Amino acid sequence: MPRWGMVVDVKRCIACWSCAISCKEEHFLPPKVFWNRVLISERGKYPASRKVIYPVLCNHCSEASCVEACPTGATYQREDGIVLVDYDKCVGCRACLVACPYQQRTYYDQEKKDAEYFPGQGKTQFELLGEEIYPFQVGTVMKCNFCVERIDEGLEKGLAPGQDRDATPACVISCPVGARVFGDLDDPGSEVSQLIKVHSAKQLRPEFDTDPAVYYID
Amino acid sequence: MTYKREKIWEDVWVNTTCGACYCGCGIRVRRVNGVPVKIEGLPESTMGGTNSGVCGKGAAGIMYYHDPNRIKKPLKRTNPEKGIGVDPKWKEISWEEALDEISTRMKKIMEDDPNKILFTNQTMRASDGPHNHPYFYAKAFGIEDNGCFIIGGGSLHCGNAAHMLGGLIHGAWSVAPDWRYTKYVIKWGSSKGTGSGHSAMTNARLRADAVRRGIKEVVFDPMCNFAGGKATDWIPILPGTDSAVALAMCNHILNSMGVYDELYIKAKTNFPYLIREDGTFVRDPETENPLVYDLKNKKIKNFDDESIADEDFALDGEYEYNGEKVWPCFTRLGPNLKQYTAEWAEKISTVPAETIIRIAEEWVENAQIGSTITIEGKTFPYRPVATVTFRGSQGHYNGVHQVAAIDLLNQLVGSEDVPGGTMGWPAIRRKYPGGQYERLPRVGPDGVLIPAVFYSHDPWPPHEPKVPCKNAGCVDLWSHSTLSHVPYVKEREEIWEKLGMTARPEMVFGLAVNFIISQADWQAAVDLCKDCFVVQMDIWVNETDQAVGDIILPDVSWLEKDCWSSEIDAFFFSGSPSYEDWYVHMQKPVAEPIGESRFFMDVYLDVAHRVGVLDKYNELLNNYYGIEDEDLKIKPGEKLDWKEIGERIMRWVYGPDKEKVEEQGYATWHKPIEDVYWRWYMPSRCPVYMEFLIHDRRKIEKICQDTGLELDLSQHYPLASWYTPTSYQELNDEYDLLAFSYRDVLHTNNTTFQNPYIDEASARCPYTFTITINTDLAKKKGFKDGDVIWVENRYAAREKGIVKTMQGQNHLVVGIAGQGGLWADKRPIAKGKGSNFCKILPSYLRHYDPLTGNIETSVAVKVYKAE
Repeated sequence: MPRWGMVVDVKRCIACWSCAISCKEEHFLPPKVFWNRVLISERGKYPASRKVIYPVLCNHCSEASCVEACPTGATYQREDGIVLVDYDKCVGCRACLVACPYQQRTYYDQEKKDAEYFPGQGKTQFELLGEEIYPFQVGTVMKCNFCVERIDEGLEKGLAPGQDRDATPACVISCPVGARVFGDLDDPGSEVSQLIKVHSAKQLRPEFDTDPAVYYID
Repeated sequence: MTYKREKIWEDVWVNTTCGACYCGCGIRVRRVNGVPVKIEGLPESTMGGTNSGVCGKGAAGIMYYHDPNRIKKPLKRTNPEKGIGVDPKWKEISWEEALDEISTRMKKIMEDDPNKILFTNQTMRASDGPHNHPYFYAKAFGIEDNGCFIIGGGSLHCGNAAHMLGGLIHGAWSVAPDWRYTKYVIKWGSSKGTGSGHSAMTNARLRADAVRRGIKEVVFDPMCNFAGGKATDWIPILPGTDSAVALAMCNHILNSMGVYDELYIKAKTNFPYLIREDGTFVRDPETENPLVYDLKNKKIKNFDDESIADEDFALDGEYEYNGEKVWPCFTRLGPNLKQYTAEWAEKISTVPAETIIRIAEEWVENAQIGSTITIEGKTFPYRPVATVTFRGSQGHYNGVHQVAAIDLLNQLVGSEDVPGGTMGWPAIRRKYPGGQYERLPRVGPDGVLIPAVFYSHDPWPPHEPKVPCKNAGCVDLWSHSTLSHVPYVKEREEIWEKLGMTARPEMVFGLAVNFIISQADWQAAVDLCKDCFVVQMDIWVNETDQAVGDIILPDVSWLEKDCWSSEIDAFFFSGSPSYEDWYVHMQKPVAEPIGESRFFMDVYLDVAHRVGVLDKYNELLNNYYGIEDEDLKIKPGEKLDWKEIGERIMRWVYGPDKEKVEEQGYATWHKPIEDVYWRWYMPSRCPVYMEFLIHDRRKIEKICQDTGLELDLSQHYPLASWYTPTSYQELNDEYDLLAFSYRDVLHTNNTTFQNPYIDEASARCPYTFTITINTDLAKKKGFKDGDVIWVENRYAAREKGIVKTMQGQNHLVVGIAGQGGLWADKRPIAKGKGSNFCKILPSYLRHYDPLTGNIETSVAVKVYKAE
């Protein structure tokens, strides 16, 4: 069984937000909800200051504090490491929002459901189609699912996640500078494992002891 | 957590071309149940990012289709009063009524002078084009040159000086590093490879690979954001002072280190050309060619005399020709540079002298002068250093000299269009195998390239300044202007009168332009157009339409467009600068047009027919594509729509593969390596010594004498030199900061502000919607993050915005991204977001580059808290 993970090379990243916007399209996310974000800040003093860019998403941690915090079992981890939310089991207590040290979870309420991309002008065909073919449930928590649908359907078709476009997360394939690589962390020969080894890629905030599946080259 | 597959009755991908900026990346759009839902890049194509990559604003493109604010029927102003803040009181009219009124007015104006019609477009519509057809179109109406072409939405983002020298040096519109082979890149006010500029994602993809290879990237920029933020070495600089630093570097390289690529200078520049005391070339009386001295035969010969070996061109010494003392013009370079010391440049630019020296020496060290590289069996000079510039450094009063000084670094080490060096791209467009239509540059007078295609006023052969000027842009006088900004000059009435320009604009026929808010002083643009009949084709009613528009015609977005020509003609700024195959993409409709919207090319054809110039336009098309097959030529009297015209031209361009190309939505074919690194295969020379400026100066001096016009002619000097930008001159104790603008990776001019996806992302970027200011400076001024401040120029124009402090910004500047501060009622997402930089740019003639008519894009300002 693989353990799916990702390497983000922030040296390549130009902060164009393609990952975030492609993710929104892939999952028909409502206004102001992001499963992928780009954190932008700076470090150091003028003139030696440097811009700091971190594209972030759910880390699909091995020791996921959200899974531990969930009282109903709605948030669970598959054998391949992907952390998912079962909307039917989620009661919206939001313990996971508090527990996630990376702030990667969003509570989907009526206000978010009613929100329009063009406020006050009604929902577009795009939004209405999304509600029909990729519905969310009000009162539950949502987050990045590593494009599990692409992975599962891709595997069914005999495709290889991380290598074949249709089996790879949307944020990875849409990155115009190839800053994201997806693959099996447990396979020492996979591109992700090699990148982690060669570039000493790091997990964000390792002191949380959650063992994220997303690594960064910086 | 899964798709309801049972509810999906259609799920297809359509290959097309992105239209979110002018780069024209190959994309595919997913349509589910008839609804465009997702955009990805095309992994098969080199036009764009890595594999299926597409940038954020490209990915966000579906929202242009879904925007309920799209115009659905032609609109007509019913309120005769015009201006900012005046309700146009639109009423919907029929296409027939709209086109009848437009063509009737046009016919009437044409009886008088067609130059009174301003044909214009917006550069974001390049790939959403065909971008270049407004130029042919204007020609069909009897307008020569493009002096009527007042650049619209691109405006201050456009690069007269960069394009002029791109054309003269590279036969190309733009320059980029040869990412694949370079080791050391210096960027000046350019974000090539970090999200902006031509072929943005192609360059970003190539740069990302180069970064992993370990290249060094030095960025001179007022702020540490897009280019600076990704640099290995960000060096803060003041806007408009890049040439001071570049000249000091050249001085150190040539005069202190004594280094230059002698063979390159002798073989590929005009530096061996002999000049007399007054700086003009000594010419052969019969051929009119410049003369050179052959060291081997000790004779003066024509520069193109094939008996001279490359190494035998004299670069120094004094000679005699017909009793007159003459010298190779290279002898003037060293003495001219001597005045530009690193210490002098530090005082002007804020860049420490030791940094200037260090970068100069690193540049030489990495250039590997004399080395060669063999690629695919072909051996080329290898110069793995590239220095590129674009809008930031060239958009100044001293723009041409800024670009020329930066280019001189390439010239000294021979890094022009060779592996690892600075590439103009592509100067060449080879024909598709089995097809026709080829565009090759020619070697013109004095050995200088004549570009294969240039969108506008050709840079070579040089046009002689003359009067009377026949149209509003006055390119007859500003003969090096690529896209004239003169119509926006405050003193335009006086200029027009003195230059005998009688074609005062009476009508504007624009494609999605927004020149009121995107040029400079808003009122200067309103004054230009308020008495004109302004017709626009766009997908929304923008600020310009609301202020001065008379008829607004609903255009289709690129998601609804069936356009065979999207990139055929834009090849020279949408392709890959690297050794990658040619790709030409089409635009295929993903969805039906919104409302009654029509593709502007079909509207163009309809109007041309009504006005009676369709045959002429069709003839121009036949000639442009060089159609020789009589069956494919458009015949007199034929009235074809754009798709029908495409049936003919596609057959000519792609031959038997026409259907295959149409089906896949793009064409691809091999680019020979000699077409990438063409420099040493083409007997051309770079006009680094800009002798033509001496002649221009003489002619313009006479014109000024005759007309009473006062013009600053100090920059009509043949060697790259330092000239203080107007903005810099206007600094004083009260107006103590320089405001500048920059391109945000999320935005293309102002259109992207109306995209809700981009709007959401922008709101999460600390700098996009704010006014940036150095943290220490802010403290001194008493500002903190979130404060609302005014930025005001000395002419009382001011703009309000929210403070965001940052360490990574020069301590004497304030930065504003792009073209925010919008107010059109029909673009509610955009309304009120960010700040508008353009409105604080003064528009007096002294703020324009006297060589190209390019506007100064930084401004001396004071900043203070809003009450």
